[in-house]
Amino acid sequence: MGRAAKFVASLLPLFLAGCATVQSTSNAHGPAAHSIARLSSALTITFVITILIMWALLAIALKKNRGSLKEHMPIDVGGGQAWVAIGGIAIPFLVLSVFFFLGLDLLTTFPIHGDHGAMNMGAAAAKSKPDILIIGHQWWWEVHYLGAANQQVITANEIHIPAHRPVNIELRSADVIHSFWVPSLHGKVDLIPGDVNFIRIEASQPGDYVGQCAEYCGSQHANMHILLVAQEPAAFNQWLANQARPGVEPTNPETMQGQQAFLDGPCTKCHTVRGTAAAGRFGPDLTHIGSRKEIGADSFPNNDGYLEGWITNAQSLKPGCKMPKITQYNGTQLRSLVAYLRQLQ
Amino acid sequence: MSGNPAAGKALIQSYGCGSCHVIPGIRTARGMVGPPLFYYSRRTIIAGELPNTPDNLVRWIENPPAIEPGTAMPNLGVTDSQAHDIAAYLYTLR
Repeated sequence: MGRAAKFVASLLPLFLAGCATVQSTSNAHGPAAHSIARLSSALTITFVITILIMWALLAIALKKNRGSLKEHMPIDVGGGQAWVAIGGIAIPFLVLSVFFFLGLDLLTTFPIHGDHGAMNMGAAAAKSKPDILIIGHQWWWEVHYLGAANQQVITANEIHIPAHRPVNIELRSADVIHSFWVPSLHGKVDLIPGDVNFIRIEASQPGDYVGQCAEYCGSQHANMHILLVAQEPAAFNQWLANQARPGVEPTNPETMQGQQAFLDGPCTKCHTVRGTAAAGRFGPDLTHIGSRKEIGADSFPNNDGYLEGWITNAQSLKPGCKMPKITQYNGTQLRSLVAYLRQLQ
Repeated sequence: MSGNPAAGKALIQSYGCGSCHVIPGIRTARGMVGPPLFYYSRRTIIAGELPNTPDNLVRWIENPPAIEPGTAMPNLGVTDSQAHDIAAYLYTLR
């Protein structure tokens, strides 16, 4: 392989990393994303054609060469007002008007609104009862399922939704401004401290969709990933029912020792495992951590190796993140702790 | 050494060795939990107790707690052929 080919090959994993779908606006898998993709390709094509026309006109003007400075001939600068009026004002007015109304149409079809908006927006917000509440944190996503009153389902970073139907999401922030963006499904919407935003998303087919925070929010902003899993409704309901259960109780000596290490250690100050005394709310809910595909806001695969490295020294994997170095466990305790967390399916 | 270093490199990434070790040649391997694996082929002792021979390295990768019960290095379920591949990669670190 040549150097250039090697370079290109080394970039490939960046685009193919981890998940099933490419994180791109042009890879649309839902009605909102399709509209955005259509509008942006229409814009791109229109502007490319416009530029080609402008270059052609420039070439004609250069070729026409009305007089020459060398020959001291008078240069003809008269005429051309019609070109400016039609090409510079009338046509751009028409083209931009068309895109303006196409853009407005997109906004009304896929409402993105907050309670700070105009009155009719506030009414729309009240009508669309949210199914999911997402709270942005530095640098992870807290996810509440609001469906049934008797269910308490809180998870993090891996957001499951039923496919084929719209899902209303309420967006809040616990600290700074974040922005929720899964490019294959919808446009960006900010999570603003002290305010509420809403977004309606729909996945046209089941699959894993990747996204990330789209508003700079601090040192680990670039690693604040989103994994959105759209499932067939039956599979989603099954998933939700499992997530509503308390954490799986350990059954063998190793996982029992791990649970003891978990409950005796500092973990419970920040993390919750429902069904145990661990009720910290600063970090992600770990009740079903074993069921998640990734850890560290979807930065690393969820396996024994990455999980143990993350627990003991998350700072070396995501410098500046809020998870401190944990130095009080010995090797045996660490391995059992990982075994306990992994069985929290 | 019978393993395939390129396969070993991919296995190191998927098992997450780099979440605890700094490993040359692997961009994401920047863990600060266990020792960095610089110049691995030149090391003489594994885990502070075993001579660094290919057989011992493979045994250690496959099941560290079997050799040193108190170690934090987990048994990741690495198969024998995978352990050979990983060892082959580590021995490219001269």
